[in-house]
Parts: sequence; C-alpha cells; structure tokens
Amino acid sequence: MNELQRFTECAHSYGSARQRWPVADRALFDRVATTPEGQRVLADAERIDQWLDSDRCAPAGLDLLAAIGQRALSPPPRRRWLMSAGLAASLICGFAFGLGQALLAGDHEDSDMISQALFSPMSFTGLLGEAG
Amino acid sequence: MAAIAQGDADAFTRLVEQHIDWALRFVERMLGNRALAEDLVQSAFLNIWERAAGWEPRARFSTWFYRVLYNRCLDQFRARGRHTDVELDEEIPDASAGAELQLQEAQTRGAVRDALAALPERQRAALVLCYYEELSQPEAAALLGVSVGALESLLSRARSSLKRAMQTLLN
Repeated sequence: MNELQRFTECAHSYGSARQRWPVADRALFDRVATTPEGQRVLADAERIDQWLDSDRCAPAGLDLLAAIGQRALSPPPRRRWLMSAGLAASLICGFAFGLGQALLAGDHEDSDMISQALFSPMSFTGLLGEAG
Repeated sequence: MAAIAQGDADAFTRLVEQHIDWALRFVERMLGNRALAEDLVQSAFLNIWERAAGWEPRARFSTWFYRVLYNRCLDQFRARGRHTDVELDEEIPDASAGAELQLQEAQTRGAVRDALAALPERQRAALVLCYYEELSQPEAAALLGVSVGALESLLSRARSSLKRAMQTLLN
C-alpha cells in the first residue's frame, strides 16, 4: 500500500485532525498533509468533522448532581424495610426486657395488670367493664 | 473507590463531579436522548455507591465505567427493540440578524443527531468513542471487543454512512 492510500484510509476513519490518528500514522500525516492530494483528502474529511462538531452536549446540571447525591444518601427501599424491621425488633425486645425486669423486681400487682392488658384479648374490655 | 466502599460520601461526590460530564455526553450520543441518558448515568453512579466494596481495580476507573455505560446502552437498545429516540432541545430562534444562522445550526445539529441515530450501534459507539471522546484506538477497540483493524473499519463505514445521510438530510 502506498502512502497516499494509507493516508486516505486514515482520513476516512479518523478525520482531519492529527491528534485522532493512530500514533504510528502521525508521521505519515505530517508527510502527506501538505501535498495537494493530501489537502484534498483532508478537506473531504474536515467537512464530516465540522458536521460532527456541530453536535454539542450540555454539561450535567446541578439538579442531576443533587438527585444523585440525594438518592445515594437515602437508603434503598430494601434497606429501609430492614431498618424498619430492625427498629421494630429492638422496640419489642426493649419492651419485653423492661417487662421481665418489672416481673423480677416483684412489682406483681402492676406487672399482672400489664401482662393481662397485653396478652389477654378480653382483658382490656374486662378492665373497662369493671371501671364502668 | 476504597474510600467510597467505606461509605465516604465526599469521595463519592468527587468521583461523580469528575466523571459525570463525559459519562453523560457518551450516553446521550449513544441513546440520542438526554432524559434517558440522565436516568441511565444516575443509576450507574448509584450502583457504584452501593457496590463499591466489590470493585476490583483491574483497569482505570474511566475505562471500566465506559464499559459499564456501553453495556447499559446495549441493554436499553434491546429493551426498546433497537429503536433510538432522537430528542433535541427545541430552541426557538429570535428575530435578530443571527436568527437565520441559528436556525441553520439547529437544523445541522438535528441532522447530525438523526444521522448518528441511524448508524448501527457498534459503528455509532466507535465514532462516539474515537471522535468525540478521543479514546485511543486500542482503548476503544478493547471496549468494543474488536481488533484495532476492525475498529478502523467500523469508523470508516460510520463516517461514510454519516456523510451520505447528512447530504440527504441537508438537501
């Protein structure tokens, strides 16, 4: 393959800007780019480059950055569920522990009332009935 | 990434700020749709935050993240049946002297997006990675899973198709 052929192939693939060409072909670019044939090939590639350059993308907006930060810092749904379950479990354990301590301390009258209120379905209505 | 794996929110913020612009640019050009690109990039970053502990530094972060984003784009194409939405900001030109020029530029930009969207996915990816993102040929070829010679061929076909499409669209 002669130099102009390879030069044309590179321009067709990588465009008219030297920095986009493979490192190994940049010396070829320097040799051929200034020749009349080279300039004709580059002018054709440059037209496509100009079209491509007309497409610009806006940088990320602050709202997107904020949304990523906000979602990263709030736990995902599964973790929220686990946190709720953990919180509920710790509340139940704490309450059971407190109840156990009260029973052991011998405050039987209050403890009996609490046990009755918690574990007997009829106890609450019973208590209300007695009060009435 | 080690700091992020430890839950360091500042490290995560720095990582996002450093990489979000190119990530968004790449995905927007691949999908042809800004809103979809923002959703995809946001989800990819959140995935990093949640799974940073499992990240193994086999490559540079940007090389690895390009692959993640490219694979997510392919998933999008599969989910949408290879359809690419082309969405452009609708800028209404004013009545000033530059209005005609603005209109022409908007038309050209729209035509380029249409032409890019019409390219087969791998040709589009090759063009976006090599032209817009200026990745080296070995980097882009590795990302697409092709040889450097095949990448050159993809680029040549992409630019030829784009040239034909632009000539048709602008005439």
